[in-house]
Amino acid sequence: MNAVTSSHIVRNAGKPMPEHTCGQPEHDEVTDYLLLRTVNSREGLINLMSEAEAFFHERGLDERTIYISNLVLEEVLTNVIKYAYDDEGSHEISVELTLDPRHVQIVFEDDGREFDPLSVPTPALNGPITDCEPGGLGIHLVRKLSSSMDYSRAGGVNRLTIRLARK
Amino acid sequence: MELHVIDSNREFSHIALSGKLDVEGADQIETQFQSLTSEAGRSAIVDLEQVTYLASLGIRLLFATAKALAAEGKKMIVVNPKPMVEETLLTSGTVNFIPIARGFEEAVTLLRS
Repeated sequence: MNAVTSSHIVRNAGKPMPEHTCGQPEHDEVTDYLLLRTVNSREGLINLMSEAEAFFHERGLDERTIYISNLVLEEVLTNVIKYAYDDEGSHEISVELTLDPRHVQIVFEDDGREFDPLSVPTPALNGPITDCEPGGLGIHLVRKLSSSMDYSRAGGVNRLTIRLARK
Repeated sequence: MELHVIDSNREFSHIALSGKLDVEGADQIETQFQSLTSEAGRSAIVDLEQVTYLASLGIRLLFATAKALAAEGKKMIVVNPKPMVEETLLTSGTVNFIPIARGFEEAVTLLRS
């Protein structure tokens, strides 16, 4: 019964980059930025991923980077929606996408229970399948595909920042 | 996401998937996929050649089914994944539990090994 409110709040708000970062002046002036908000529902996840993918295509990201970005969004948001909340209520999740010439940065914020994905142990990939949980593979995959992951908890909010290298 | 049954015999179900195995895709095929494989106690050869995207929920579906099959002494083999799908299987470690075959013949060989 949740109202689905996946929506793009800020679309291409040409946010200036903080400093010149590398020798690519044609890209130095503007960083592409998109803030998406959704509720903790399957429909919300689908809508948000559709918005994000359209944004990546519009900005001309290569197919591999789009694939990996979608994969990270799906994994993290699925975990939040499935496991972060102790009640049946509607909760807002925000996803901030920032593109610079070298990276895609994705910042997730949710008010679910405290969860640091960096604390999840690497699954036992050499053992029998019966000793491994499927959720462990997803987090493992995200960690291996990311250039960096940072987690913090403040004011009852989980904040996960993931940077992916662009091709 | 579409599921096509190529063959279903006493030994295995040979299934071809096509499209995006994303949130919606996994939902669309889950019931049929599991009824043809783990619920029937039948090993699975899953052709991924036409699958353009595989991520979290797709991995969970394949893995959970393979795990249920393993409990019955059965196996799952995936066949001919596209490069990004293969990278996902390799990087996640899924390939440690669900082998990749090049073609149907190799899949049958792996199944019987």
